[in-house]
Amino acid sequence: MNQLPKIARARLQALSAGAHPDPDVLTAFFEQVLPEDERHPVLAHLATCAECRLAMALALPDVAADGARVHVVSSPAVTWGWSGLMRWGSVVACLVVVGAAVMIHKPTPAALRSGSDADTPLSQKISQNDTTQPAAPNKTANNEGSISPQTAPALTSQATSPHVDATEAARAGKRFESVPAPRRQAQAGATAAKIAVPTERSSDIVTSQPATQSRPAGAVGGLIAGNRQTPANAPAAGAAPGLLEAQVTTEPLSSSKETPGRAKAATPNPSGSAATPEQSVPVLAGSFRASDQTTPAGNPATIATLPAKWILSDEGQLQRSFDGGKNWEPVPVVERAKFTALSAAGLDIWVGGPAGVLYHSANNGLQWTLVKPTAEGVALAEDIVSVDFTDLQHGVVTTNTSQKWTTADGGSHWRVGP
Amino acid sequence: MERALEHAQSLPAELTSFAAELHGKCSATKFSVTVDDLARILGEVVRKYAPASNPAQARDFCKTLKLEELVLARACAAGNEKAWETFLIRYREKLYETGLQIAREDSAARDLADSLYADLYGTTSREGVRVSKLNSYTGRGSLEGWLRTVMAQEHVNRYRKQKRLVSLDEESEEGGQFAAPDPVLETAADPKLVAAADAALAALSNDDRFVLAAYYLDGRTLAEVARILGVHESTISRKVDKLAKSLRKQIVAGLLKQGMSRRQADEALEVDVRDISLNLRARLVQDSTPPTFPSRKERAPAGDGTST
Repeated sequence: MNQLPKIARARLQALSAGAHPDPDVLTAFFEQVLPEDERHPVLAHLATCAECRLAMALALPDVAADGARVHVVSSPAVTWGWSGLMRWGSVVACLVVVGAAVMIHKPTPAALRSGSDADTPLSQKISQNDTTQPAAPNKTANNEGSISPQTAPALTSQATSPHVDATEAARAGKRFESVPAPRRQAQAGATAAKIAVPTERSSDIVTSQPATQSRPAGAVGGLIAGNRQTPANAPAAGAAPGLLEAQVTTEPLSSSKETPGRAKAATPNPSGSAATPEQSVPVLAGSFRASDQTTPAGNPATIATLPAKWILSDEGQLQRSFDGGKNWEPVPVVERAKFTALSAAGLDIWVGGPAGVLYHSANNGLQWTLVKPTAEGVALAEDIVSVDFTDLQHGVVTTNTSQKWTTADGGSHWRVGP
Repeated sequence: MERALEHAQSLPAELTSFAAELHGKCSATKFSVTVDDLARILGEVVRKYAPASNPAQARDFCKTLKLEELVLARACAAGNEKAWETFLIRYREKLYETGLQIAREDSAARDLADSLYADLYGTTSREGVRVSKLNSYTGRGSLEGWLRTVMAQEHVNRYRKQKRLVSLDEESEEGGQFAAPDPVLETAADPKLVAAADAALAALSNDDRFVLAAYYLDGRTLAEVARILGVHESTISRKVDKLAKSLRKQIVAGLLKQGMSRRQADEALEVDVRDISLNLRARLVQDSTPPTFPSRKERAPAGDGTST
């Protein structure tokens, strides 16, 4: 950083300040709600008044205090010494164990060829699977056993492939979009099944996911359900509707205890209300676009567990940092969106913008769901100026008209008012 | 309430009708704030911040206010018990947390929070009427933010008072903060250089001046400055870098305009930097508050009497 000429510092300091703005105006200033015409005089005063700058800096909410919500994991200060060595040693040991597990379960080319053609794009594989016969049973037969008899061949073959994990599905995220619409149903079903299959590899990684035990099962599903506005076409894939939703729902919550047998426990949707593959398309198609970006981890499953800092850029773009704010990467949520409000509570990220646009990610920005708050038949249509989730369930969305939309169930139901 | 009614009657009819419209949309009824009370409060805020506004503008202005929190604060100031219950539930713990964040020390934090709480409750009386600090909240920003700001200002005031009352012993230990500046050094700054620096600074926008002051004078981090301005940290980083470069260029250009050669301008800048550096130290200790609050002075550990 360039040094300022000291004469400039001295003259800058010698500038005289006028009357101090009152606390209301200062508060509105640092909360970014002061109109432009009032903002300039305040800025002019602050540029010349060390006392007000100090008061305002002290009045800013503590980053460390917010860290519990904004940062997924607060990294303790690095102290070198025996305890530091032990700490880092344990981290290195964990990395070695995880790396070994990944290497052990890394699919071999032969295995890939036996399950599906490794060189074939996933979209082609899916389209092939639309017409292929059910695949032969393989080592993840437990999963297959959980799928109802009327499960489509495509779903079965993909779901039981031991080599397809969320990473591969993520890499193929863009390819999905280029596939003709009629095949989306099958794609969605296949993709959902792929994500849902709790392979050993993914369960190893998910082990480090913090504090997801407290999330009520179905919290994500509730949000996914909130996105079901696509007309329910005939489920071409023929997969058991509830099964798909249950799998997608439980996947981010999986822990190291989960085994392939867990798929058996994925009971059909009690409501029976149509979690068809078609309905899952918006979530799944949009969800993996974030994985195209270069991240420190590279693996979406790992991203979903990494501590991150979140911020909105000047252009209203959501950005994420995995290294404590040194490097920031854009996180695509939806194209041409300009967000104005951000809330991060653990792995749950909420972003809001103009005209009531509200998106939620339950897995550290890997997947996004459009949430449309509705209360008493009226949908939120005002510009969102702040989103504040104190935990996974309770949150308040404030609009530019000072309306407060409150939810106590993670965004499934809303109420307007205090 | 009679006084409130008098005020309300003097308000424009549009504002009164707007207050009636807003009354049902907030907790005014819950906290026994009548339509007339609300109209008076809104009228007071409009008169303070948008005195020249027409009814439509006043209406738009009122829409930007944090109405819910404004009603809560004013109901508390009026002594409504339900409002106080709500206030305590929402903000009592936050007051202590904020105090701790500002004062960085538990007892000072409690003292600060208790003092503010007393002010909010209204311990001072004017003509037999308790005066609550919450009456000065106008809903421009959030109530929580306002509480933080008020507490931060109080802390700054206390610190300044404390510094004024510091003992001579402590003063000398801290490095003679009140020593008179060296008169020779005061005169060391070249008037041409000062004029060039002033002109370069005057050409900057308020935004830029604030960034420079916060970063270079107060020692704020890029992240802190970015948070204050509501922009990305990288934006501030680029701006600081650019400003420092351009300011130097502008000062040199100003010196060239005043008849100096390039070499003379560079030399003047460099030579005076050393002089001003000393002078600046004197100015710093006299005129501005330190960027941080050292909670305690670090003292050398007591020795055991043996020398090594």
